[in-house]
Parts: sequence; structure tokens; C-alpha cells
Amino acid sequence: MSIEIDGLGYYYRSRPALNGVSLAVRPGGVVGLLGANGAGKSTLLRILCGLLKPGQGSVRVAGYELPRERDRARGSIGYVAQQFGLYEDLRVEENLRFYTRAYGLEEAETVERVQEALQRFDLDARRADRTGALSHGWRQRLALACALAHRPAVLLLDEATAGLDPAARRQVWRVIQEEAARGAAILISTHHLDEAARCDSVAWLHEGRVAGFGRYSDLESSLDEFFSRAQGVA
Amino acid sequence: MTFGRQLLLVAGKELLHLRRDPYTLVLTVALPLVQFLLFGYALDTRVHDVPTAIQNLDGERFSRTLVDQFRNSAVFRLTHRADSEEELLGMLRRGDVRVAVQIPPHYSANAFYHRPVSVRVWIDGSDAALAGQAVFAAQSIGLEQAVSMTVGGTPAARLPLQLQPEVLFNPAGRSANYFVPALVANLVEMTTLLLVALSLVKERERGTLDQLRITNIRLGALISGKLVAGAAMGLGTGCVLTILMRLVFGIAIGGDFWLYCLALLAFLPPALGLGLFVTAAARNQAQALQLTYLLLLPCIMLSGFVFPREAMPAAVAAFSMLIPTTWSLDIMRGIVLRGAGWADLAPSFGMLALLGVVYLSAGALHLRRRFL
Repeated sequence: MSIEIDGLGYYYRSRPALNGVSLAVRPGGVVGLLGANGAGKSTLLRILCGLLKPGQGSVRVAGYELPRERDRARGSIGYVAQQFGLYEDLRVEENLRFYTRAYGLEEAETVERVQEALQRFDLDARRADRTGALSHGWRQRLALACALAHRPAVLLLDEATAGLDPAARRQVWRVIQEEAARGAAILISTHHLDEAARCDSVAWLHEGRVAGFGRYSDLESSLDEFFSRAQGVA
Repeated sequence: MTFGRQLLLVAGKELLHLRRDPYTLVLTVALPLVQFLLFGYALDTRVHDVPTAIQNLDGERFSRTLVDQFRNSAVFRLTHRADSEEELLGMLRRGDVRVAVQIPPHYSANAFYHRPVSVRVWIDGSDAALAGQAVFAAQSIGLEQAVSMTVGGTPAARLPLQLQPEVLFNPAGRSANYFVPALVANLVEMTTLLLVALSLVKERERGTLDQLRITNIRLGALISGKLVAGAAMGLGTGCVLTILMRLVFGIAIGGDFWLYCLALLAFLPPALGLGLFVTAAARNQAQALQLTYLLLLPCIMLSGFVFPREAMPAAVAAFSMLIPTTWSLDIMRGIVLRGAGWADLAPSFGMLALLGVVYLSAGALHLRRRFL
């Protein structure tokens, strides 16, 4: 398995953000993380990136145990955060070059990968544009291009399609499917149920616990029930 | 809703923001408080306790009285005794003392027989304000002594004691000579500190820090990379300001050029360390700027940049030893104005190096704790 999580717990001060979460993603698998705001989706992804230390339980990413082997796991992870994490004053190509080099690729390989990414994400015509001047959709493409330039074994996407128009979302999903076909394990958090339906399986996070796991079609009825209950409470 | 109610609503909300953000609240209160205490307590434009060396070549009663007058003066503090003129001038060049007094041989005998005598007083002119007050105080002592000697004489009689103050290093008392070299040191440190202080905070605000932390770039390399960039900018600023100092203000480097270059390098580590502290502590760029200002205030006020450290209360003067600028200014004025060499300035270089190691290590540890 590329991602193995067993009994993961994480606390913000004394409040549990994650409580006994267990999950696995195989190479080439796409798992969706569903859940209300504050359910623990971003926390889980940040732990898998090595940005947060797990409070309890064990986490393995690309065969490396976190946080112990975090430094070795780094080059195997691609991560797109909600904030994108791009340098707005750098040009498109400069961002791509910097991140590709930062993942440890040599100069010759970097040149090749940057060119490849520019074409794959239709960024070639915008390579000299300042990143800050790009629209949300284009920035999203660039963030994805930066996260994938080193061909990671694990791709973690935190609401990567939020705020995108349908065409842009379709393109993101095309890339996700290509990456899965390449063998990358993908974990994507989303609020869109139609996107959850595209995943191989879905984990429904509720108050830091996995409330349901399986194919979306199998979970659909219980999710409907949950939403109705939540609406009733509201 | 009336205007008054609208106003109260907005004012209430603003106070709520401050209450919810204790960090900003502390900074908002701390800044004026520090300024208030600095100006009210620590800073004094009257000079006192100026370190003074004396060479008494006479050693008899009258000369001992003169020494006592210097000792009892509020302006001078006798800290050193010298056996030769070279030793006296060496102390001045090193910055050990600011005033050196030489009482000639047979001073007492000449004074007893009302024969004219002259006492030489050398004053470090690299601080124009201090030099002016020291000259005045020395002349007052000389005048008092002379009057005592001539009691009973004629009004037209020439005073038997001539106290000859000689201002060294900046005889014209030019302010630019005093401030400009110090400004070079201060601006190098300020530029470096500010760049480092803003660097990681900016990354955190933009969300690029998380992205960087999952790349192969280690935290150590990330911090070091930022320090190198900050140091390069600080050094660049120093070079430009040095050229301007020479071309615009006509101030030449009196000492060794390479020692001056070494000094510019030595200013960087403590500033980098303080920058790391700020960047680890601040949550956003506005806070980083406020914290930087909080640090720079004592650097300017307590380092001897404007107000002589000799005029500060002992506790404040002791605290100022922890401020890198205190030593940078000493080095800068030493090399540029007094022509001091490595041997003269080694203690100040040593203190800067020590502060550099301490601040850099503490800053890096603080940052590591914050991010790991």
C-alpha cells in the first residue's frame, strides 16, 4: 500500500481533530475524503505530508514511516493545498523550475520536466506571466503542475477543485486519472459528491472519525441519511 | 441608528479585536511603554562618568589635588592610570577611555611658586557632544584650580594654570563624522534583521512554507538560504553606504580597510539571529514589522548611536552590552575615526562574535521548535 494509516489520532490542544482513523490507499488508487468543514480532512492530509506529527497510531507513506522517516518520504509526495502555495511574484516558469529543483531533480531533468508540465497543463503560452496575475483556475493548474513535476508516488489534494469552473474541474480530474494510471496513490478531499463518485472508494470523516468507507455507490444512501439528519439539526 | 450608536458599535468591535489578539495588544502597549521608559529614564543628554585616564608625572600635593578634582567631578570617572604618553593615547585609540590627562613634572613646585604650568588633556572627539561637555568640564576644573592658586594676586595676573584641552579624531566636532560611520553599521544591521524577520513570515502567509517543507529542502537549508540572502543584502547595503560615506560626506576610513571589511561581516550574525527570533515569533508581516521596530528602538537609543552610553544609568549601560549595535558602533567609530587596529578592537569583535553565536543559536532553536 502507498498510504497506510492505522489508529491515527491528533489533538488540537485537548480537542481531538482525528480519533482512531484507519485508511489505506493502494498504488494507482484514488480515495476521496468527504466530510463537513472541521471534520479533520485537512489535518489528515497535513499529517500525511509530514507537516504535523501524529498524536497516536501509525502512518506510512510511500513505504516510509512518519514522522520518523519524514525526510526520506519527502520526494515521494505531491501536495496541493487550498492556498496553492505559489510564489506570486515569480513567473509561471520560475515557480515550476523552483519547485522541480526543490524536489531534488538535476538541472537537465528539470528543464525537461518543466517543459513537459508547461505543455501538459496548457501553461506554455503563460510561462512568462506573473503568477499573481493569473486567475484562480490557472493558478490551480500551476499548483498541480508544481506538485507533479517530480512524479510523486503519492498525491495529496486538499480541496483542489474548490472554486473551479466545470471545465477546469474536468481537467483536474483528467490529470488525477492519468496520475492514477501511472501508479500514483491519490487521496483527495472534496465537498463535491459527484467527484466522490469518481473515486475508487470514499472515506466519510465525521468529527475526526471514519464514519464510513467504501465505494461511493455503497455509501450513498447512508450519506443521504446523514445529510437529512444534519439538515434537521440545522 | 444614531451616529453615536454607530460609533460605539465600531469602537466596541475594534476593542474586541484587540482583546482576541493578545499578541497585537501586547505590542501596542509595549512599544509606547518602551519608548516612554527609554526617553524618561535611560536617556540623559548630560554627560557623566566619562572614563578617564591620568598620567601624573609630578605626584606631589598640588597634582594630587588636581587628580582629586577630576575624581570628584561628576563628568569624569578615573578608570586608568598611565605611565607614558603613548599608553595614554593608546587607551584613547582603543576606546578604553574618552579623556586622557597628563600632569607634567614639577607641577606642584611650579604651582607653589606661582610659575605657569600647563596640563594636557586629550579628548576623544568621535562623539562630538561628549567631547564638548568634557572640554567644558575640564576647563572648569582648571579654572577652579587656577583661582585657588592665585588668591591674593592681582586681577591682571595671568592664571598660573593653563589646562590645554585637545580634541582628537574629530577636532572640528563635525556631527557627520560622528553619525555617518555609526549609521553605516546601524543600517547594515537593520537591513539584515528586517529581511530575515520578514522572510519566513511571508512564506507562511502565502502558504509556500508548507509547500517548501514537503520538498527535499531541509529546514536547516531553508533557514541558511534565507540567512545567506539576508546577509548578502546587508553586506551590499554596507558597501553602497561606505562609498557614499566617502564620496558624499568626505569621511575616509582612518584605519585598515580590510579590518573595516571584516567589521561589516561581523555585524551580520547577531542581526541574522535577531531576525530569526522575529520571524519565528511573528504570525504575520505586520507583527514582524512591529517586533523589528521594538528591537531597533533600543539598538538606536541605548547603543551610543545618539546618546552617550556614559550618560546612562548603570543598569541600562549594562543592558546595552547585549545590544549588537553597541559593539558595531564602537568598531566602526574606532576604525573610521580613531584609526584603531585589530588589537585595539579585538574585545568588541569578540563581543559581537559571542552575541552572534548566542542569537543565531537561540533564534534557530526557537524557529525549529516552532516548525517541527
